[in-house]
Amino acid sequence: MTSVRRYLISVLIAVLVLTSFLAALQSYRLSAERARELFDQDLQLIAGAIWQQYDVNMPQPAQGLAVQLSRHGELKYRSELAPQAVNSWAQGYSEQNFAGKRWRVFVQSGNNGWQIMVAQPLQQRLQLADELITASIYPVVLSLPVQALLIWLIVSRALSPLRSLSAQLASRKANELSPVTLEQVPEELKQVLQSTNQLFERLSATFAREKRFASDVAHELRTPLSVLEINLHNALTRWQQQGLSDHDETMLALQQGVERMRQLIEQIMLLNRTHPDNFQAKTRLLDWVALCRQVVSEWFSQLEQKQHSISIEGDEHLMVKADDFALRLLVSNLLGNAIKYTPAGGQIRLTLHTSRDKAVLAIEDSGPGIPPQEYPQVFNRFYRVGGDRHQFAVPGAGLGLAIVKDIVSLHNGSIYLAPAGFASGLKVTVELPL
Amino acid sequence: MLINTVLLVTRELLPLLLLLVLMLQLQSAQKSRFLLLSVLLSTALVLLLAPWLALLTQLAEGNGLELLFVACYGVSLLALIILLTAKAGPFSPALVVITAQGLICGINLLLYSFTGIGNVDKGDSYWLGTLLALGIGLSIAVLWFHLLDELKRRTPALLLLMLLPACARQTIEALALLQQTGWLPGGQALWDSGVVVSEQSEAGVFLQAWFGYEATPDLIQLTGWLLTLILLSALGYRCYIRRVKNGL
Repeated sequence: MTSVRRYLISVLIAVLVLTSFLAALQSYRLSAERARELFDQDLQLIAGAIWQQYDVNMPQPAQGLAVQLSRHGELKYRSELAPQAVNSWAQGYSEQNFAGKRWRVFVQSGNNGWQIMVAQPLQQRLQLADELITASIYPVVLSLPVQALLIWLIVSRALSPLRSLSAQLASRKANELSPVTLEQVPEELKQVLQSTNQLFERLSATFAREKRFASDVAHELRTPLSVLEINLHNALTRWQQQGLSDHDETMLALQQGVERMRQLIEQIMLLNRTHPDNFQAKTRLLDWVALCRQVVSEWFSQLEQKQHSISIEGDEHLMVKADDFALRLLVSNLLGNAIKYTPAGGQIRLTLHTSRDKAVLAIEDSGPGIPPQEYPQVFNRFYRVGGDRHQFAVPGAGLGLAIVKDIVSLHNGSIYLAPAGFASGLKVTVELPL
Repeated sequence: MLINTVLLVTRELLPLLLLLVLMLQLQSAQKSRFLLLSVLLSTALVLLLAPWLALLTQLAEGNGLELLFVACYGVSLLALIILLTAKAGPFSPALVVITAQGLICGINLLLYSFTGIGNVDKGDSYWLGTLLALGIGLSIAVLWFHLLDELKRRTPALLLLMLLPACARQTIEALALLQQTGWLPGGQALWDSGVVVSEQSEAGVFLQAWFGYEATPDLIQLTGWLLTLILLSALGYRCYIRRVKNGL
C-alpha cells in the first residue's frame, strides 16, 4: 500500500461495483426465471379457461382467468369463473367486481358484433407482480451486509499502518528514543513518521549530551582536584614541620572543602554510571543479608565514632538476582545517609525478609526524619531537605537517593519512604523482585 | 440476452486483466510504462489485423483464427516460462504475454460486436451487459492487484507461484482450440463438475480466467494441464532454489 487514500478509493470502488453488479446480475437472473414461470403459468391458465367448456369434469381452478365471448349481447362462451350475464363494460382495461372478487378486465369488440372479455383477479395480479419485484430486490438487499463486511475489512486494513504507528508510540518507554519503523509506510504517514523520527533523534542527542556533560565535567575535574588535594596535604605537612600554627583552621576547612568536592564528583560519576540507560548490569544470585553485613562492616568506623547501635533483623539469608556493585552501592548509600543524619548514640535497624514474590530491605534510623510532603522530592538530583543550608549541617550533594532510585529502577524494583518505627526518624524500604 | 453478453465479455476480458495484474506485480519499476505500452501494442495489433479477419478466418480450411489463437497461447506460455525462470520480472516477456492475450481478447470482442458470432443481442442490453462485464472485470482486477500486492509483501515467492496456473491455462486453452480444429482428437469428458461450479456462472468464468477451469475436461486437456503444472512447478522450484543459494 503506497497511499491510504489511493488504496481506499480503488478498493472501495472495486468492491462496491463488483458487489452491486453481481447483485444486479443475480436480480436479473432471478427476475427472468420468475417471469418465465409466470408466463408459463399464464399459458396454463388460458388453456384451463378454454378447456373447461369441453371437459365438465375438470376441477375449477382456485385462481384463473375469466373469459367471456358474446355476439350482439348474446353469450356464446364463458369460462367457469366468468359472469353469466353479458355486461356492457367499457372497451379496453378496467377494474370490475364479479364472483365476489375484484377483477382486472380487458374488453375488446369487433366490427361484426363479437366481444371478448378476459379478466384476471386483481389480488392474483398484485401477488404475481410482488413475486417478480421481490425476486429482483432480494440479491440487492443480501449484498448490503456483504458490502458492509468488506468495507469494514478494507478500512481496517487501510488504517493498519496508522494503528501500528500509534501502538508503537504508546508502548514506548519514556527513555526509548530510537526511530519508529513501520512495515509499510503509506504516503500520508511518511511526513509524520519522518518528523517524529527527527524529533526522537534530536531528543536523543540532547539527552545524550546532557548526560555526557555532567560526567565529562566530573571526570575532567578529578585530576586537578587530586593535584589540589596532594598539594594541600604537602602544604599542611610543611606547615607542621615548620611549626606554623593554623589558628583559624583555614587549612582544615580547605581540606574539608576539597574532600566534599571529591565526594560530589564521585557521586555525579556514580549517578551517571548507575543510570539505567548506561549501566550494563551483570546480575547474579546474591545473598542480600551477607552483603548488608559487609557494608555495615565497611561503615563500622563511622558507626563506632558516632556510637550508633545497629542491628540486622529478619531472614538469615535472602537471595536476590542483582548486580553486585549496584546493590552494594544502594545499601551503602542508604546506610551512609542513616549514619549521617542520625545523631550520636542513635539507632539504626536493617530488616531483610521476603514478601510474596519480593525481597524487602528496610533501613530505619532514629534521626530527625523527613516531612512526608518532601518524600517525592528527595529522589530528585541535588535535592536536599531544608535546601543548601541544611539544618543538621551534614555535608552532601543531594545525589545519594537519586542514585539509589536509579539502581532500584535498574532491578525493576520499588522504593518507599515512611516514618521509622523509632520515636523519630526515616524508614526506607526497597523491594526487589525475586 | 443481457446475461449472455455479460458472461461472454467477462470471459474474454477477465483472463487478460488477471494476467495484466500479475505482470504489473512482477515489474519492480516502470509499471505505468508497462501498462501504457501493453495497451498500445495490443490495440495496435488488433486494429492492424481487424481488416484481415475475414481472410484470416478462411485460412487453414477455416481454422485460421483458431490457429492464430493457439500460436498466441503458445507464445504466452513460453514468455511465462521465461518469467518463471528469470531472476527478476523482465519487461519484454511480460509485454509479450499481455500483447498475445490482448490480441485474443480484442479479436474475440471485435467479432462479438460486429458479427453474429456469440449470438449477442446488439440492443441496449448489449451495451448494458458490456458495461456490467467491464465493471465486474475491472473490479476483480483491482482486488486481484491488491491481493497479489499483499502476497508479494508477505512472501515474494508466492507471486512466482501464481504464474503456474496462468501457464496451465495457456496449455488447456491451446489444447481445446486444437481439438476444435481437429488437429487433436477430442475425447470423452472425464467428469462434469458443472453442477458444482458451472462454466456459465460468475465463479466459473473467474476460475476459467485464473487457471483454465473446464467443467468437462477430457483426457488430453487434463494431461496437458497437469503436465504443465507439474513440470513448471519443478522448473520454477529449481530456479528459485538456485537463486536463493546464490543470494539473489
